[in-house]
Amino acid sequence: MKCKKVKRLLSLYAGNDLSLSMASAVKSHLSSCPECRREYKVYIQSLQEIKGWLKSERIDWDEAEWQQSVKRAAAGKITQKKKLAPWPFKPAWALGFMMVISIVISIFWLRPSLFRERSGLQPDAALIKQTSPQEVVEMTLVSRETGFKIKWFLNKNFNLEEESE
Amino acid sequence: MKDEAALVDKALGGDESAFEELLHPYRKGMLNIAYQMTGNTEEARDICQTAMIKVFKHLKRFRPGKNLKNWLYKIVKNVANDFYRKKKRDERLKEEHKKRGVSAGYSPEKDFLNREIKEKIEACLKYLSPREKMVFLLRDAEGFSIKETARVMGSSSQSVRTHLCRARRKLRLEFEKIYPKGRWSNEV
Repeated sequence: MKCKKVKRLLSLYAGNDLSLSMASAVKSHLSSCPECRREYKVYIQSLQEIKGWLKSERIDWDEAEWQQSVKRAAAGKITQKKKLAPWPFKPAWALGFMMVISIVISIFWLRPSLFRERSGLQPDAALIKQTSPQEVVEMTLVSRETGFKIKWFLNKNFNLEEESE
Repeated sequence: MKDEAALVDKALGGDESAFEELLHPYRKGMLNIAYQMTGNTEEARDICQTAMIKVFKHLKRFRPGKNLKNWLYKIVKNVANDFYRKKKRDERLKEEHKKRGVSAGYSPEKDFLNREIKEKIEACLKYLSPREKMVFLLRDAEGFSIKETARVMGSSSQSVRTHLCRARRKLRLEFEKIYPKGRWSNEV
């Protein structure tokens, strides 16, 4: 094996990441080449040192913090579960439902009033009596002395519609 | 493996303590991989937190025959990569992090030697690409085999060897900058 190839493999050889056959070839070259051997030693030293630094810099969880993180992770799952709710509860579907319901409500409740306003028709007293009796106000005046009764029927504009005794 | 499967079942049923027990053996490794990727304790904890949420969310996808350790590290790696990409996009944040980076792991009780080591690690690792860094940390810091590293990285063993080779070469060069060559010539 030539120096060029060995130098390419040295980093893997330093970490025992070569196959047995390759490793033995590199090993035999190193025994006869001081230049490659020097480079190999630098690899070994640098790897050992860096591993040592990484080991000394290892951090760990504070127990309370770890427990809190686990709880948060579990809570995260719960919120995800909510997101995976059946179709009627998905936001898009809910919005669609709300729109449909609001349209239906507007048709049933708003349209008749709009119709009346647009037509400009003044309903007569008989119509008021039949369709919307709540719009006709009945007033009864009774005399204490004679017992005489006067009934007034007023429409919503307070126009006198009918009078009777 | 049986215990692991039972714990997964319990965790799927919403048992928080089973989930904690499941992750407990890997908690330090996960945190340290994230820490070495970011160089910041707080960011490492954030990455682990996000990874744990993902683990809990996707636990039902985990097949009991598979290696939980590899799966966990793969999730941490993905979250760390996402984090790295986001960070890279925002140059302003990156500069801020660099400023904080020197004192990130610093606490009053940490002595000068530790700070010096941290700076040395940062000086060595900063020239590695995220992939090279992750491969190096998994293989040399966490002791994963080449095959395990390949599974975590989602690549072939050959690709892992290539990245590992590059990473070690870059590290060796940086290391020689910290300790001039003269030191080695005396020892050989």
